[in-house]
Order: sequence, then structure tokens, then C-alpha cells
Amino acid sequence: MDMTRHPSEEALGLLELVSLISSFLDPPDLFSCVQVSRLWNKATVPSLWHTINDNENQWPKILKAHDYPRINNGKDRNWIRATFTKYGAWIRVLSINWRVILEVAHFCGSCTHIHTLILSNPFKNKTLLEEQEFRAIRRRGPRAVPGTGLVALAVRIAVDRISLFGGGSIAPETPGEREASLQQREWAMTNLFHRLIQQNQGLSGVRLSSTLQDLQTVDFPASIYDTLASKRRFHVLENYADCNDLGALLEMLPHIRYYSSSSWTVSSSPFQTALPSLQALRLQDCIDTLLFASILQHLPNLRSLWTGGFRVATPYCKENFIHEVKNNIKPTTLQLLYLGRTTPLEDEMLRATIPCLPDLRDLTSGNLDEITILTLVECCRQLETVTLSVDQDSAKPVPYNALSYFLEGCPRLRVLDASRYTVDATQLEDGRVWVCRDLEVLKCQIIGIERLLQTNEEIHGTISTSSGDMSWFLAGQQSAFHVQQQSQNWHHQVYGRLGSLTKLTTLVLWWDPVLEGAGSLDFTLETGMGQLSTLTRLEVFGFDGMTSRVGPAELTWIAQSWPRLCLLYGLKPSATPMTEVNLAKDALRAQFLALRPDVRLLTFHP
Amino acid sequence: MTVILVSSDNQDFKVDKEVAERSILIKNMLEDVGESDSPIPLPNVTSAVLTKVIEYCEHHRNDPVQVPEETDDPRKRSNDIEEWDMKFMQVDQEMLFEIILAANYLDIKPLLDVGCKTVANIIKGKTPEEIRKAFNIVNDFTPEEEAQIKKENEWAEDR
Repeated sequence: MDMTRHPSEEALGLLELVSLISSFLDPPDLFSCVQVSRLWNKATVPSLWHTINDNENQWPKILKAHDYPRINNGKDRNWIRATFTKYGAWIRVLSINWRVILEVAHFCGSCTHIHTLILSNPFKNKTLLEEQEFRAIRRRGPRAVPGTGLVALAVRIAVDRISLFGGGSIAPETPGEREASLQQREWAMTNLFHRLIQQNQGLSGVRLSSTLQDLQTVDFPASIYDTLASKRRFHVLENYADCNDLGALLEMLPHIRYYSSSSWTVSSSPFQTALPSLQALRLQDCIDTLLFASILQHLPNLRSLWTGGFRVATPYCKENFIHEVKNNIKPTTLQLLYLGRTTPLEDEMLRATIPCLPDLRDLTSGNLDEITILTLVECCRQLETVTLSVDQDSAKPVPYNALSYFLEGCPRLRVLDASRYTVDATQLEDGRVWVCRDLEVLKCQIIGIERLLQTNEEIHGTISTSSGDMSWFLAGQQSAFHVQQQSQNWHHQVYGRLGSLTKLTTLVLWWDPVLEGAGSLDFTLETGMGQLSTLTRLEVFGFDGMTSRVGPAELTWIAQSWPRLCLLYGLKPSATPMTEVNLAKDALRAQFLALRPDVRLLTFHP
Repeated sequence: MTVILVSSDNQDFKVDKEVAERSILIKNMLEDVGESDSPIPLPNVTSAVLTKVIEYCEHHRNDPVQVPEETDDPRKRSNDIEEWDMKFMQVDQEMLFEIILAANYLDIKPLLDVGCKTVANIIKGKTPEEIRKAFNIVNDFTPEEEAQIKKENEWAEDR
């Protein structure tokens, strides 16, 4: 008899190993795992029940029909409750979108180890029974309230109809009794949610979903925040409910590390005391200068700040802020800054603040002006990720050749995502090198190279066929030769610099023909694109807008030189309407896909 | 500085200390013993498996030490295995589990994770019966128990 045990049997007989394996699987596969054997069931149930989102998997189907157990394989309210009683203790993340789950999670008694609670509007999802009742009310029409005449009834029905077509957003004047019942239900929901928070001692995060905004009347009572404040491990609050005073709220929650608000009505008094635990603050709305100054002053450990932009009540506020920053604000620990909009005001505020941001690594913003970019490159030596977009509505011009400042001045740069911004090839000559040798992502436009009207052969062709005046002939030849020389030199400069960025995984160059007076790279082997063979890590490459001379030889070169390539911008027919069908491009596309069927073709329209 | 590891079949492996210390077990042993030239016996690991494990540790000798992350969503992904690791894990199933057992015993968390991810990828898309067959597992449920477990968890089913 073979007494040796197979390693697979030994390993899969260990609870902790099966459990670790299961942590890498998703619910459908975990559903298979829990049925394998007793040991596997014990090891994998915690993973299966770790994260429950009642809007995913089969939950919506089950919950929608739970009023009708007969068509639901017996899965009624009692079944849900019994199942939650049995497995609820394993739930760590619970996302609630159905009223019955909110009720069961509280009443089953075993959901007490949740660390993250996510609440969406639980009135939005309707069960079959609720839908039927709703339709019945619609059919009957609003009940005639005693004391109103026929005319009033007719008007109400008409209004009802209109609101029906309008998606129900224009609510007709509802009879008082319905209003009261709705309020009661909302109050009951808030109450249940509060109890659920209370019964989970280890709660570390609460997310109130955006759909709660539909519930205009739900006002989270201060008592909920009191309960949250009492939890020592409570670190994360994503708040979509309106908050009247941000400063006061955050001062109430002493352990909070991350606060996010999507409400557009942030009004806040400045912070009065230091909040050392807060590390990340995300505010959808613009913030006023006083609050911004107090954020820089009173949040000593803030790492990340997202804000819609700045708001200035009077010009004096701005001057005051700039004075305050220069004199009273010490360098901060901020590493990530996201600015939703960048008008000249944001430029000015940012410029004043930058010297206080020596640790800044990650900046996302709209269009910045040249002086701000220069200040940034000079002061923030740790910059790793820069994402610059352009606000379509803004009349602010994009500063010319601005990306050179980043490429020449930021040694730690890994991502430069600025496809509307330019690098001027004709400015590369004077010896300044690109210092960002760790760059992995580059999206930009190369400009300045005058587009050659003729290729080498064409020039020779013209020369040999032209007859007569010899001096005209020579002058033409010389000037064509000069332009070509210059262009070749610029191409060489650009390819040389790009080729030195050997860590690039994404290189998206494109050219916006609307740009005046500047051409881009001729992306051909003749101009020296072979210098890019050093970019062996490239996964994404783009040359939209510069494709006129890319031919079969270039595509073969791409297919062979970049084995990791999986996305290519530039060969797909343009998504812009009005562009003509290009048969040559179709042929090139077919040729490339035959060589590299694994590469997806896309078009790039920033 | 080098250390000598001795496999269960008495083969000596001379390894850089830095490489050997990828194993937390060995690292702790070396710290406890202090400066010493005496070989470290690893009675649970055969020479074939130890060769593989050392190959992994050599390749990852400069990796930063993994810090257990404090995240809200610890549901991890199994499709983020590096290319080298993927190739390294292309072994027969018995060797795969030998490596996992060795990584578990030697306490080499990244290797254990890569091994478990590889097993997770084998499990993906399989029915319970196919899983039992693949790993030689006996179904010890009664039919009633099986039916109940199915009913309680079929919300997770992929349909």
C-alpha cells in the first residue's frame, strides 16, 4: 500500500492554505468551492461572504421576488433572514441597496463584524409586490380627497400624467397622508442604519451613496455622527448627504483619516484645531480661500487633497490668502493635489501655495499657465505623476512647449499625461537633456517640424524632369536639401530623446492639425524611427494625426520591435465625422492585424 | 556572506545570506543563532524543491519587503502574476503544491501568494465535481447537506 501522501492532498488538507487560495477567487468560483467538501466549505465560506453587495450576482433577482416565494424557490423574507443569521458574521463589507437587506442585516443579529457599510437609496429598488401596488395606485388615480371638487381632481390627474411622461420628477401635490408615510419610512430607514452602525464595533468605513441625494428629506441626525465618533477604528467617511459645516463635522470625528464629500453645497467654517489623523480630503465643490488656508495650516498629516477649485468672495480674500501663505504657513506633507478647474485664479493661488508643497508627487489639474508650471518644476522636486487636461470651455491658451520644462526638470517623473500639451522639436537642439529616465507614460504632441512636401525620390524626380534654367534648378535643389537636412536633424533629436526613455510602457503621440504653423514627426523608418527599438517595454503606442507616411515597412517594424504592444492608436478609421474613407489606410490596417492579431486598434480623441 | 542549507535528502546548498533571508523562518533562525557557520537543516524540503525555492529567492533578492496592507477591500486578484513568476510556476501539479508547502513552511509570503494564485487560476470556471477530480478530494457531504449549502449560496452563481 502506498503510504506516502501526495503534496496536493497535504496542502489542500490545510485550512489556512485553502483559505488563502480562496481569497483570490470571485463569488461564482467560490460558490463551487463551498460545495467541494466539509473542509473546503469551512475554509472558503469566509471569502464568499466577505463582501456582499445586494445589487450584484443573483441578489437583485432574489430580492425582487422575495414577496413571492413560490416563484422564487422558497427564498422569502424568512429565508433571507435565516441565511443572514447563519452567515452574517462573515460579512466585512456590506453594500445595501434593498430595504429588506437593511432590515435583515439589523434584525438577524449576526451582522456584527462589518468594517465597511455602504448605503444607497433603498427605496429605489422595488419588489414585485411594491411594483404591483404602485401600478394599482396609478390605475385608480389619486383618491378624491373630501372637500375637493371634480375640477381639482381633473387637474391632479392631468398633472399626474405630465409627471409620468417627465419621468415623475415633477411631483404633483401629494395628499398629506402619503407624505407622512414616506417620512415615516425614511425615518425608519435612518433608524435602522443607525442601529446597524451601533452594532458593529469594528466599523472602519461608511459610504453614503450619491443616490441618497434623491431623498431630500433624509437628514442624517447628529446622533449618527456621535455614534461614529465613538468608534476608535472609524477611519473612512464618504458622505453624499449634505453637510452643513465641514469643519465642525470633522472636528467631531477625531479618528477619521479619509473624508470625501460629493455634495455641491459645502459650506464650512475654517478648521480651528489641528486634525492630525486626517490624511485624505476629497471635496467635490470649490472651497473658499479661508478654508483652503486652514487646510494647509491645521491638517499636519494631510497627504491627498481633491477639490473642485477655489472660490473668492472679494479680491481682498485672495490677497489675504497669498499674504497668509507667504508668512504663516509652513511646508506641508501634501503629496497629491487634484484641482477640478483652473481659471487664472487657481493659477495664482497655486503659484502662491507651491513653495509650501515640497513633497508633492502627484498633480492633476486643468490647463496651467507657464509661470505656474515653471514654479512647480522648480519647487516640487519629487513630482512623479502629472496629469494636465484642457477645459474645453476655457479661453485660456495652452502654454507653448510647456512639457519640456517637466521633461528637462523632473528627474523622478513616471507619468506625464498631457496630450493637449506640446514639445517643440526645434527647441531640443541646445543640449538640454530629458532627465526623467524612469518615465513610464508619456502622452503629448511633438510640434515644430515642418512637414516635408516631398520625399527623397520625389525631389530627385522633380529635378530630373525639370529642364531649362539651370540656376533655378540648382537653387531649388539646394533649398529642398536644406529643409530636408534640418528636418532630419530635428527628427534625430526627438527620436534620440524618446529612445532614451527605456522604461516607457505607454507612448501616445498625436498631432492636432488645428495647431497653427507647426507640423509633427514623420513617423517613418527613413526619418529614423528605428531609434525607438530600445522601447522594448512598450504596451501602448499612438500616432494619430501623423499617419500620412506610415507604410507597410513601418508597420512591420512596429510589429516586430515591440513584442508587448497590445494597443495601437492611429490605424483605426477616425471617429470624426466628415473624414473621407481612406482605402490605403484600410489596407495597412489589414496588413498589421495579419502580423499582430493580438493588438487592439483604437483611435485617440482627447 | 553565505549560509548552508541542508535539504531533507542531505544535500548542501550554499546560498547568499541575503537570498536565504527571503525566508522569514531562516531569517529568524539566523537572528537567534547569531554569527555561526553551522548548516541549517530543512527536514521538510527535498533538494528538488529547495532548488526551485532558491531560484525564486535569487530572482527576487532585491524586492522590497512586503508590508501587509491595511485596505478595506482585501479581495485580491489572481491575474496580476508577473511574467517571470508565471513561467517559474509552469511545473507539474505535484511540484506546484510542493513549492506551496515549502513556501508555507519557510514563510516566504510572496512565493506562497504566487503559488496560491496559480492554484486559484486552476480552480476558475470549474464545477465542484471538477475541482474534486482535479485535486483528488472526497465529497464528504450528505446529499441533504449539499442541497442546503447550494440553496444558501446560490446567490453567488454565475448565470
